[in-house]
Amino acid sequence: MNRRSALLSAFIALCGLFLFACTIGSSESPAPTSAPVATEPPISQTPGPEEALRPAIPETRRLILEYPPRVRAGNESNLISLTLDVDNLGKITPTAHFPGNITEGGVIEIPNLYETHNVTAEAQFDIAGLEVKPGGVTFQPLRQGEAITFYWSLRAQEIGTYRGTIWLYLNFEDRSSGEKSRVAVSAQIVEIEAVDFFGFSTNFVRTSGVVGSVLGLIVGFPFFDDGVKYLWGRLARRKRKTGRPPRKM
Amino acid sequence: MRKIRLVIAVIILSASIALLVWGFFPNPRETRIQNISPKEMQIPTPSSLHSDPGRLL
Repeated sequence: MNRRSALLSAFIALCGLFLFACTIGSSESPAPTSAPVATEPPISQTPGPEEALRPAIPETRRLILEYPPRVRAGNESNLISLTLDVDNLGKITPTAHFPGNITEGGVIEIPNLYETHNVTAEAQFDIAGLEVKPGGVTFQPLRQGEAITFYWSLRAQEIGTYRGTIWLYLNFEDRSSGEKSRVAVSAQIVEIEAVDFFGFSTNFVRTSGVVGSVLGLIVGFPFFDDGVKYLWGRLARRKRKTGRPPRKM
Repeated sequence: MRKIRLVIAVIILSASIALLVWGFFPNPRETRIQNISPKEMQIPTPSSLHSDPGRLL
């Protein structure tokens, strides 16, 4: 009995030791997804002194994308516009942060990028299944205080839902050294649905509408004629009534 | 006979007007506005490449 209980207690102790070793091993081995995050340095929201003094575009801009979420399939063309406007309300307030929560207000001279670089906006509309013109990449020079607009013409031959991306990049070319750099400003996903009228194309529907209207007017002409005559008669009677002098009581 | 003709005329006209409205009505347009700060339009540096990848979308 004593021997059996000793064996049982030894077995339980071994199981406990095994479980303990398993838990230690699992807690020590890092998860594959969390490992890179833990090793990465924290991203600082406040720019450092070097970053703050990098040449920058001295204006806040507003990107306005205007597109039709639903288009008619057929030969009809639709317009998509992407405007990089100047935000007059957006003002840059330079502030300097120091350790110890002491904030000193002062003017930070950020070099104007327009003075040192040639800035070009580059836009591209990538969408499969739709006819887009101009295709590929389009460029426009970006000047201080000026808005630029990119236009694309869109045509859907087949019905369906199409998804694409509108990219906007800024290209910088150093005027002195000629060094080029590029930064992606925006990538907007658009979803466009091409529809038809119960299987009929847009051109067929429009032509049928015009022909049907003419036919309907011809078929119903006698009734319209009657209606017009009736209305004209009532109008003439009212005119006659108002033209009479009032009766004496 | 006259009544039937009137009914036919009304049907043809209403169907044609419906087709015309569908065919010529302007497509709905959606506008998206995104503010871009000067910081997002700076010259890229190696340190700025570590920024949040979901920022653009």
